[in-house]
Amino acid sequence: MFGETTAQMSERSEQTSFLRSPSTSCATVLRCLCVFGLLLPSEWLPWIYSRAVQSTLIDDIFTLGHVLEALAIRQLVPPHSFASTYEGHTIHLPPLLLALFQPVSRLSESQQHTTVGLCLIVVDLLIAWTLERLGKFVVQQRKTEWEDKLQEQVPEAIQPKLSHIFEVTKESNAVVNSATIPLLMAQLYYWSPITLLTSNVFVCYQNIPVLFSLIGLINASQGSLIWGALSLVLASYINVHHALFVVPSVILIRERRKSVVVFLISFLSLASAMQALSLYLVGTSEFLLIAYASHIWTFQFQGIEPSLSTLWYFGMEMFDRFSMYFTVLMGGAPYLLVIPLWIRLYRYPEAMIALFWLLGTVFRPPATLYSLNVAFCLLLLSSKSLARLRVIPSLIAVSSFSIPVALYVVNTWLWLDTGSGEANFMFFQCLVYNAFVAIIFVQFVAACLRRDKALRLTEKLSYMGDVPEKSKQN
Amino acid sequence: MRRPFGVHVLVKVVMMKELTLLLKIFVHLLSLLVSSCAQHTSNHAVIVSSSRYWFNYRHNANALTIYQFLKENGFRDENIILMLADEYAVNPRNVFKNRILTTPEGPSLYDASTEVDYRGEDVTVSNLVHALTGHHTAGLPVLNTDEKSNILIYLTGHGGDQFFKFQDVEEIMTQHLSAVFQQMHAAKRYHEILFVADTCQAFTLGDAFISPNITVIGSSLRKESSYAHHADENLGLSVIERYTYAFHEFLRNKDNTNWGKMTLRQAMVDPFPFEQQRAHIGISDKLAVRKADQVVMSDFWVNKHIPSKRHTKDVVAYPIDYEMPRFSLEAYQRATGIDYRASEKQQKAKDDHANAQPTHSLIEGADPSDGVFLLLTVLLFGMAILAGFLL
Repeated sequence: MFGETTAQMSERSEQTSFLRSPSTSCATVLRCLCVFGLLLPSEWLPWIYSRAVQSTLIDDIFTLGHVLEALAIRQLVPPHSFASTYEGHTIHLPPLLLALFQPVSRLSESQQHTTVGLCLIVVDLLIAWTLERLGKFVVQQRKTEWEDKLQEQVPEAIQPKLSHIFEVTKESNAVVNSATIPLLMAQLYYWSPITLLTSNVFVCYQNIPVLFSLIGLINASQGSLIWGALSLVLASYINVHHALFVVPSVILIRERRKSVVVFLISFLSLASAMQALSLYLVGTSEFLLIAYASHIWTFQFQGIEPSLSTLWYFGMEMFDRFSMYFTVLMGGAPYLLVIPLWIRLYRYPEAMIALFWLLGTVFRPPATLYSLNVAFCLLLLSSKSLARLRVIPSLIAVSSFSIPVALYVVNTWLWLDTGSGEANFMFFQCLVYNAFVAIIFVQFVAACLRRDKALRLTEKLSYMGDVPEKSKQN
Repeated sequence: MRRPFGVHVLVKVVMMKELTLLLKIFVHLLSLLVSSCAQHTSNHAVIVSSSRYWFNYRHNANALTIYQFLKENGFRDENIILMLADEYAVNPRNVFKNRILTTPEGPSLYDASTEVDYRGEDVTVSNLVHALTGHHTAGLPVLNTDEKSNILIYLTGHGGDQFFKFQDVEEIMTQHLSAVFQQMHAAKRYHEILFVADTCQAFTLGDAFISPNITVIGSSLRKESSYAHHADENLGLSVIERYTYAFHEFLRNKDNTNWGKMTLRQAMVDPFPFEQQRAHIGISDKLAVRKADQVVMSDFWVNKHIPSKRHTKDVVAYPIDYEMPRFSLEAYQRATGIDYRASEKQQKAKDDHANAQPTHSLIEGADPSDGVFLLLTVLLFGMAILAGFLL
């Protein structure tokens, strides 16, 4: 491995796919060991299982505990129907997802943990594989001759500064190039200790909507309208925010010259059908309340657990009379930015995918390190934008966000477990973490805009005939 | 030269009017003096802590310090209006459950005998005004005072130049307080008032007072802040303000218990220099007939009746290992003969009746193992996948 040239590495990675990679097998073995409790058991590392650490990694709603709690409530509350599960506004799982996990309740506790853990290994494998496929499509297969052609004519003064790290043109000898990006994305996800802890130690299935979203995007990129719509419907049924990925899907479908109208009608029809199935399951009398509890409640400051999310932070720090203001701000802010980003970056759907995901990471609860991990994987789709990042703020944000996370864990433990410490310290770390994530978002948006602006400028100059040949440029 | 007859009469009339006016003023002053010298017959207190949120723990402790001190000096709860804007004893962040402490080894300022009259959202400007002026607000206690009542008014919280904050929502200005005191004076609701404020720029709260017999003491002057005294490392915040803490420590000193002779100035101003408080203690007795070095502490800080110690049968200490007696429904039923479960039985009968009635929902709801539900699910996804192959 050492001493290889970049070209040799690229050639080697082209031949090695994620599923066939030996590192994948190693990672899978490690994950299996975690599921069976042979690696990272609670007796050796009890602090990993503390509430503070878990709150940074997992969404409490998508855990086995929440499912079992739902089943227990159903048994306690008459008339013990499926709708009884939602009494008391404690359970926030969508009805169909809860129904999917019902068979798990018949297993013993250890069997539940093992079964779901193993299933989540498969889900993570699929996510990583889908990321690789998405990466291959975006950086290798998607036709962007117009951009490549323009990029060759970009004046030297506005060339990207990091083109030696992130590939901008096929000829550049960058470290992160189109040959390595797909595998890198997959391995960044699958080898990440964050996803390992989340899925296989804590058995949190928050990765399921991620899988559906990625499958939806892949299908859209290949022109499969119905499957793309179905996957996105499944993702948005579990987490409403994933409906935003309809926007880049529409762009990808248009590039394939397929019917956007069919796609949108399919999406709406399938979404309605899912809600109709939920209605059949819970009955008409409780449907609206349950729909609110499943999909809308996250927009309000209710029932939020301590976490790194801005919603938790503002929910704790704001005065009651401002609750409506912050509900509208935090709930509406990510969606206000969709249209401007679409108008500005419609030529770069891969950038939109990463940006919409980052919006959810900043504004939607709960903010976990898992969502940030996925964001980093998706950012690699836009290597041409990454090449135009400003070095210092980006480097500071990326390298420093772990500090407030560590301090958050310590201060949460001090506040909630030992009963000493100041809650405000923990709140401050939450704010700092989200500030760093926001910096990453802003820097990436700025880089995308610089990329677009450079191309537009070059295009304009080329129309005017002012762009000298590359060899004559200083 | 002789003056004309009309001017002579006019001069006489004017002189008579002046004399009459002078006489009136003299009588008024005399009456004031008499009334001031006349002994008060009752003592009352209004203690307000207007701050919310955990980090304002110290304001609550200030108010309770004064409250406990008054109780130790014979004040009864009927004579004290205690307003606490937030509950700190039961705050989840309080590691000393059910206790308010200013020192880890000290007694709790909050115990079973603490009677909070206005709590939480009841602590508002309008309720303070109602309490002072005696306008009854549904169920909330007010001052039952008359023209022979001495009133101690103690405010602690966040303040500024001529205002005092209530719960970060509203403020009361010095002009408003002045209007309230004018109203009280007109209604003969007090004999003398000692107005004490422990806030930032506290002394400015008395700027607009014009009613007679009000002495104002503030823990800081304009553009000065009042500071906390010390923090508790277990609680993680400041637990009491400097002025209230120093004042209380001064009074607890056994050398300083002669409150029948110690004046307000000697006890509430002189012992607390700027070097200790980092602020100047302001005192204004310009409206009072009896000045601050004439009024003794016992006129405001000791109940007119026989002073009693804290541990009387009125005041129950709250031991740390105190266990609340458990209420027994069965014992209650035996004692009263009331079927306490009657309402529960009625409700159960209603529920059974409702359950027995056919429901009017369009769709009843199903179980995930329901055959129809499973069939619909398979159909939906099957058709979607099939359509995906075709399109």
